[in-house]
Amino acid sequence: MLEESAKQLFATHCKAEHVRKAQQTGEIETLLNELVHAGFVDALVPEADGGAGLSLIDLAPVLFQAGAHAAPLPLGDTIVARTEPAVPSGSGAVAIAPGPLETTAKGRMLSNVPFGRVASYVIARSPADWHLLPLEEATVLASPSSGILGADLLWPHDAPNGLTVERQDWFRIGALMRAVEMAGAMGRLLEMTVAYAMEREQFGRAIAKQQAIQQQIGEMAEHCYAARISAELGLAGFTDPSASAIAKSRVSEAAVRVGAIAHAVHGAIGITEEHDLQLYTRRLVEARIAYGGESYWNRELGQALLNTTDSSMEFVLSVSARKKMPIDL
Amino acid sequence: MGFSAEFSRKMAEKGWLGLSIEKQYGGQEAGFFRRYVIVEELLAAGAPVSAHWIADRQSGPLIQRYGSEEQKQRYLPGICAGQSFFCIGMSEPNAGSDLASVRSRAEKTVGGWLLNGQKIWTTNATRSHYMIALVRTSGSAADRHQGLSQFVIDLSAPGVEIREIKDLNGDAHFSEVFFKDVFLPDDTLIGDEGAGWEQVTAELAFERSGPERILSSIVVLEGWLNWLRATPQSHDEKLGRAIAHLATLRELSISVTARLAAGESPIVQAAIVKDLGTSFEQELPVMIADALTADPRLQPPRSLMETTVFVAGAAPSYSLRGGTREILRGMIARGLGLR
Ligand SMILES: Cc1cc2nc3c(=O)[nH]c(=O)nc-3n(C[C@H](O)[C@H](O)[C@H](O)COP(=O)(O)OP(=O)(O)OC[C@H]3O[C@@H](n4cnc5c(N)ncnc54)[C@H](O)[C@@H]3O)c2cc1C
Repeated sequence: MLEESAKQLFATHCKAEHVRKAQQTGEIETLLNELVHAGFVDALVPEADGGAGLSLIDLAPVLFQAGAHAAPLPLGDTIVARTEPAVPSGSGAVAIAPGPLETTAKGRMLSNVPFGRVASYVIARSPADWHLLPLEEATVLASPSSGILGADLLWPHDAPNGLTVERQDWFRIGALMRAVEMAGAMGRLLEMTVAYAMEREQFGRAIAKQQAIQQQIGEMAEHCYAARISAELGLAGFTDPSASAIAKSRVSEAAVRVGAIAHAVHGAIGITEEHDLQLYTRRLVEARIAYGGESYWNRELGQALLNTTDSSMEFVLSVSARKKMPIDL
Repeated sequence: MGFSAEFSRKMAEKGWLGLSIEKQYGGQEAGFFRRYVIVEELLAAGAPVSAHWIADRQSGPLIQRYGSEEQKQRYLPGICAGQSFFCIGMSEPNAGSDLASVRSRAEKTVGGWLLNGQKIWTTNATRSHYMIALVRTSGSAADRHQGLSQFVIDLSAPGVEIREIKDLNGDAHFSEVFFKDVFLPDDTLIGDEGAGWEQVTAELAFERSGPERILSSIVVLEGWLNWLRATPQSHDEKLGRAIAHLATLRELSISVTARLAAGESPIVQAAIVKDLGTSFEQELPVMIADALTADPRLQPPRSLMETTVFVAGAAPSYSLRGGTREILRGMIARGLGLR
């Protein structure tokens, strides 16, 4: 149900042409309005407060669809942010700053904020607590190193501090949402790659008939499946930092092979601006390193395990205990 | 995986075998997930589960699904009691990856079939009571998937000869099995004559997706973790990566179990689990052997080094047994419509 309506919404309002336009202009209003209207943006807000009262894992199909359409906004981040009393309803997109608010000669600055170009608010650490900062008064400077929609944000020295928010683990939430986005994008890349392999002919037959191509796409499918399931684990164990760490680490690792194979199979055409492949593969490159790459999250995980007396298996079981077995025991 | 008939019988006494088999045949009817959880604990503890392993994992479910009423009554209670051990007779000298080219052949005779031919790499053949074998009952190798059937072969029957093969670690867990005019009574044919290929394919989904496709090297990981706790070193990142993989693989394996439990035959998903799982099992001893020797001033426990070396030696077999990496990827590609 949710998946079908999400699919339809993105297929209509988040076509490649919309994504390209958003990347040029930073304009996301129509898509955002549709997502609000469909009830997705306030899905976690309790029903009594006008939301849908769902949990994050219920929304997995919507978030994967957002990734599969390279949605040009931080949807998951915004959905979680909307549960914060400080965030006004009708807030627009809410981005998460990976680094702290810094005072510079030019003013107060947040660097390398993914989706900073399309956000209306940003949640940032300053210096110890997390605050909600409106972008109205900010100067938005594109910072391609944090993604095609990323930005450095600059406020005058006398800008207000912003309201504090309750949650304190936004860096991790940013990481988890990028993992989910990547898993969605990988599903789309697999579809595109299979379709292209069957259509492109060389040596008098479809390249899909070449065993070397089949083996690569077989491997690609494995990584896509693994990415999807570890992103789900992260969403199901939303409050568990280790579940997020598993998701971000595993999906990021998969993203490298999936991106590489997608490009290998597409040949030169996939390198062009005009081909849609880059809309997804560039997102993988960006999201993999946003909010910590594999090494960072692997280290966090390793330390988390070492700080317990659990065996590896016990530790893994404790993380997935939060997820329901598909059929009750 | 250690072999202990006594351990298997004790498992049965506890009610831990035949968990997915119906009660009327001596099983527990407890479902696939209960089996999953129990099996996972046993593997993580390095328990000697080899004797009943194949019967409990695939032969039992296969007989329950395709066997006649009489066959179920004949074989299943022994499996559930931890007293009948089974082996898998698929591979032959000239039929490895190309399984459909098996040449062992059963010819119809009065009251049964006469089997001639040979199997190879048969795990536990010398210690099993029965083999479920894939053999040709009509046509020729050129007929490929047609004309193949599955039989339950009593390994004590006249004409069966078994020769052990030593592996590179010096263990003899697999064998060659020769058949010379072995009489197979009519009621040892499992399922329909000629339906062997379909049955074997379904059987392989059980063989490829369980926790044993993830946990073959787990003892090395646990041993290393204990040493890291006792002798702190900077390998947190490598340890964490292993955990990220292990947790993901477990979720994958459970999702395939859910499909098996729902009566599906998730062939492609099972192939995905097996290839990813065995890649992980193969990487673990390689990574840990390197980490154990990263600082020559430290002395890892001798038993941990020995286990690591042993597992590293055996690890190449993980992506051969049960279907090679290339064959699995080919199946995935077929599932995607590429071939
Ligand atoms: C420890 C162990 C236990 C085993 N236990 C059993 C058992 O109990 N019962 C049983 O029946 N069998 C058993 N086997 C056998 C196992 O199933 C076979 O080893 C496996 O199917 C591969 O066959 P092969 O060894 O003949 O290799 P081959 O099929 O000769 O393959 C050699 C190489 O060629 C590649 N190759 C072959 N065909 C293709 C193709 N079309 N495209 C691309 N590459 C290809 C393979 O991937 C592999 O890399 C066991 C094997 C091992 C190692």
